[in-house]
Amino acid sequence: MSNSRLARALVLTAWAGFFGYLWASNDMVRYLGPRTYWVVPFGFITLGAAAAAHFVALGSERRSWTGTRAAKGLSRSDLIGIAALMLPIVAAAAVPQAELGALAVSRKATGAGATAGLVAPPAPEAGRAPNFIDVHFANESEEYATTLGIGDGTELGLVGFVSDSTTAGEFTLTRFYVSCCAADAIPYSVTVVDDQGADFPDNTWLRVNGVLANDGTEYRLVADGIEEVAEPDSPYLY
Amino acid sequence: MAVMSIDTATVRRPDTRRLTGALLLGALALVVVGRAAGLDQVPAAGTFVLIFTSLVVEALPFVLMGALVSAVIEVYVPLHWFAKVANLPVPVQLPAAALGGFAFPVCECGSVPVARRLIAKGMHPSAGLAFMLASPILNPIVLVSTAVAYAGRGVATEMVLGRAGLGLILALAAGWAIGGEGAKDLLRPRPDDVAAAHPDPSRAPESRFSSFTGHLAADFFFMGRFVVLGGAIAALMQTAIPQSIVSGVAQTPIVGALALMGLAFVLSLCSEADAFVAVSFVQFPLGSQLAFLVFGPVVDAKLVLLYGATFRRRFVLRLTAIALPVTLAGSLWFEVMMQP
Repeated sequence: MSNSRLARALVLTAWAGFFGYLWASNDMVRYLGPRTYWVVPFGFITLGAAAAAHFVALGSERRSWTGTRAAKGLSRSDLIGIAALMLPIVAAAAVPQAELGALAVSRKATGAGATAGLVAPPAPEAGRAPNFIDVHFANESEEYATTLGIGDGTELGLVGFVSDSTTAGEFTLTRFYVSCCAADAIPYSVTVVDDQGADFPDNTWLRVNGVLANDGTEYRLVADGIEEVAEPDSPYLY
Repeated sequence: MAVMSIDTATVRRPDTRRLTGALLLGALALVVVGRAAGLDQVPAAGTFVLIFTSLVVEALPFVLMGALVSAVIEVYVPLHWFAKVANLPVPVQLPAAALGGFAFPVCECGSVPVARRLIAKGMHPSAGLAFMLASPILNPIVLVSTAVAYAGRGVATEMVLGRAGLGLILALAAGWAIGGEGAKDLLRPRPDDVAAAHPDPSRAPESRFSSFTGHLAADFFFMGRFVVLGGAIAALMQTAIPQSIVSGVAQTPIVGALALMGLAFVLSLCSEADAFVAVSFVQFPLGSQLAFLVFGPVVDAKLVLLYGATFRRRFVLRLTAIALPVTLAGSLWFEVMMQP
């Protein structure tokens, strides 16, 4: 029996299992956006099929073995490939609650002053509750704000995580917008004015209720109620 | 055919077993240590692992699809088919191969092993390279995703035509310029090639199915390791380097296009998904966004490693030397055309 084939079959099985886990646990929402969710069942099926085919081939190879020669061992190339391909699974297992937080906001932000989000504005639909993206584009376009009914005094409730709490009496609340995967996540932030001056550490998930107030440069959310909440099942905006 | 059991006393190779065991133990130790050390609470670790894993999870099924097609070509497509193609004049092979990308719905990770196999089987290197470079840009999934991404901006048709046109021109130019040398001078030999050329005489001939799975796994593992390494580099750069350093140059056409090409290199996004990211760079002109969409699927961090393992030295430099000016010139021309 070829050790190389066996090892490759096992790694393929491990990857099929990882995709299966992401699918069954719905943990894929941390890694991917809805446009690429299909990759997970697709990967589970194709990698699982490849692993099964490999085991079948292994069985037939074993039956057709004509002598007692030593089995083909693992080459250095095999070992490097196997180790490399196991690395993402090991990393995901070692850091099971990996998430994009305040550090990622500082790295992914696209310019001081710009509130980081750069996604093309969604078509404004009157009547729906504004979210982080809407507030961002309301800062950019008066027409957009008007269509969504965003203005001074608009009541708003947002769930996000604290991404910057260095200024007294205010902090930045953020959600990531994900299109395809975490690599393309884009942060959208809203400044929250908190008269109570509560000290929330970075990455704390909060529900903030309040009213919007434009300070001349941007809409800020003046909080009248802040509570700590658990991270939502789906941590991103889509 | 005689069914024989293997004498396990003779098949054990202590080094292999020890190395495999060490690998497994090492992996287990990493998991245990990572959890015990609370790496979850280290922001840089969490950011890196999430981006790294997401890139690999997104890319790996496509690598498998590419390996699958490559294995089918190797095992099931008769050699005389390739002989027919190889006999066609290059001026016919080159555009035909590039346009063949329209029918091959995988991203850049999948097209590399297929192109390698086609060239090894006798397709002219220029045509093989043109196919490899064109298919991640021209395939229907990529064009549809580009149209969907830009529909909201009202420029879906323009961006799809611009991307397909510039991608085709780049693939033809690079294929023609780099593929002039023979396959042996272009392709880097791999251990699997040697094994295939010199089969173990003690073994019964492999069944086609066994050969197919062998080639499938060989390509998958060979390419997969570079996708993993490239994903790690891209994740490291995203964790360590603020993207804001490119936004300051957004409105300068040439510098803006170069900045987005640099970003495409760093992000290493799948071509089937990159349009949704490109459309987000609203402070950059459309021409610069087109540069992002054309340059990224041809030269990025993970592809550089993949190319390095597939082709001989200097391939990446030569490809970049062509891709950069062609993309830049095309994107600037597109920008001019898009002016009202």
